[in-house]
Amino acid sequence: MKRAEPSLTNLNAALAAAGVAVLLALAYGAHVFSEKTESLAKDVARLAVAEVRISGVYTQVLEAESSQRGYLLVNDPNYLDPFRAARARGEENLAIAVQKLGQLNIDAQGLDALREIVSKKYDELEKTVALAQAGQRDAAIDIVRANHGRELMSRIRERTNAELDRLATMRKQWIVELQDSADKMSVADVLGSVAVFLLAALAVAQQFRHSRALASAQQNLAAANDALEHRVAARTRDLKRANEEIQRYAYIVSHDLRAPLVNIIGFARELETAFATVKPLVETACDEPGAEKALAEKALAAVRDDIPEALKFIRSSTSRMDALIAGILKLSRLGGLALQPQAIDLDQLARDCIATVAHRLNGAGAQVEIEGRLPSLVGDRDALSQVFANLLDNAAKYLSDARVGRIVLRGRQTAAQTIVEVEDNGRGVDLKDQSRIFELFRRAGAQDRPGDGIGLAHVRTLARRMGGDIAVRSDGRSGSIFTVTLPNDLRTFLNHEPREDRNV
Amino acid sequence: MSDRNRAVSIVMIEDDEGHARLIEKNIRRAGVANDIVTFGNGSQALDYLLNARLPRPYLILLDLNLPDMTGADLLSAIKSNDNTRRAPVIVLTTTDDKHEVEKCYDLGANVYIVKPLNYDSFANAIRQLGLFLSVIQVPID
Repeated sequence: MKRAEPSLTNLNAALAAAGVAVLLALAYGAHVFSEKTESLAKDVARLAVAEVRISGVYTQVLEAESSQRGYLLVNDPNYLDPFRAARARGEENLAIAVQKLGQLNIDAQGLDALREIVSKKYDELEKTVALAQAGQRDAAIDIVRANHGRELMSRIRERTNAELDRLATMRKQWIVELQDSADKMSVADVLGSVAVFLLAALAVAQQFRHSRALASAQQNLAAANDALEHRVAARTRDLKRANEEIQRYAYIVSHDLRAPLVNIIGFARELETAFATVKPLVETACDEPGAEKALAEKALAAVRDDIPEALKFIRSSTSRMDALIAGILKLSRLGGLALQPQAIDLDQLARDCIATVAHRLNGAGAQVEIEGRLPSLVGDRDALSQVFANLLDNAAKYLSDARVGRIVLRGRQTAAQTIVEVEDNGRGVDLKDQSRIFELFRRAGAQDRPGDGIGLAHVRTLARRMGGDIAVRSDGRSGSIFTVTLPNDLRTFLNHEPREDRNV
Repeated sequence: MSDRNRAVSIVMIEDDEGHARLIEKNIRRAGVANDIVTFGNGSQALDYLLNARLPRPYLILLDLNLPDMTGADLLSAIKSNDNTRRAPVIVLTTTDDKHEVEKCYDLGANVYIVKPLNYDSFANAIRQLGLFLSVIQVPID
């Protein structure tokens, strides 16, 4: 899946690029061919105009000649009307034809020659007309009879025909080219359209495959997620079971350890009571004159020192053991503690806790201060109170003798978590002890304060029970900062906690 | 207590001999002279209580942790038998688990005493129990 994804994307990108290239080529080709076609068409039109104009020159000469002939025949000046305009119009036609050929870069020498002959012809015609108008009609007719005019006329015809043939050949060739260009354009159009269509079809097919691959990938992902969720649920269940096992174990151990302890304490006390009755008798017996001296001394040492000492140690050790067992029992109960989420103003809760440990704080001469305002959250009031009371108590307990105690609480909140710091300027926690101090029965630093090593273990168990944790930062000299991290809403944590009934 | 047949007989069900001995000593020390019959497991105690040939008024001291059955089972058996259901039952155990305590009261326990590890308070509790035993009127029928 992971490999198919990029290749699909690449293929799609390639298709799109190809499509764009084809379209660009098509646009460019269309532009080129249409330019060419248009220019060819214009040229053909210009050539046609030149041809018409050249024909016009010839026609006008013919008209002028027939007008001259008519006038000479019937001597009616009306016949001269076309004649008068013909020369100027012929000139104009020739000029336009020359201009058009110039635009087309076509040799116009042939037209120069034509103009020369036409000019001569008009000279001849004008001369005869002038003679006739001057009353010398015979002289004029003689000039006509001399066939000079006819010769000029046939030369004009030849030249005109030659020019027209030349131009017509050219025009035909151009039209072929024009046709060709237009054909090519439509072929390019068709090819381009086909290419675009193919590419589009390919892209659609590709997209379809891509979608299908995506859908199947999503299915696979969902299946994988399901499997993962199952695995997570199974693991969580195992963990929960293991945790419950440990709790039960701790409970049973502490409970069962207490039974023999009750006997040890009880019979030690019985021993004390019994001993209290025996002791004066032993002392009296030892004082009696008949008593063996060495034995009496030993017996006195036993009843005065050895037995009371032994009993004292039994008592102190059993009460210590009692405290340890109580600690285990307490922790094992915390793990299964039912939490009751409710909206809590940490600021107020912290003030209450400060009031609770006020006697110890005052005793240590310490100041407690809340920096700013502690945030509010949804949590369990009892658990939170215990966490803060323990931390404050701890801070007050391990203040430094070298300086005035100062404890600062501060809090902040992120999107999901509330972070509260309890900072003190006490003796600090050495780096190597920083994880140990949260373990049950473990203590760090000088052992000059009473305690069983239960408080911080208790705090950590509570914090974790609430979906949070606790950490400590310290340089081991100038104080420590305990940081408690808690979810903003205990309910979200509890909702994610697996329940027995949900899994099996 | 002049009439031995009518006197209350204390039945102690406690698997720990040491505890049984300590309890007995302290009861005696408190001036209670009633018979004390001790059983180390639940089935023998039940057999004695439910099939007694000469039913007498009983007071039952019950430890919840027994090797063969739970104290709760024993308690409900005692409370569902006509011979013994009126007998006062004092639950005596090391557990102070809230649910356990409530459960015992629900099943009909009259008193629930946690065996304190502090010997002085333990002895005190037993003596008070002894005083309690010396004054209670066990229903007789």
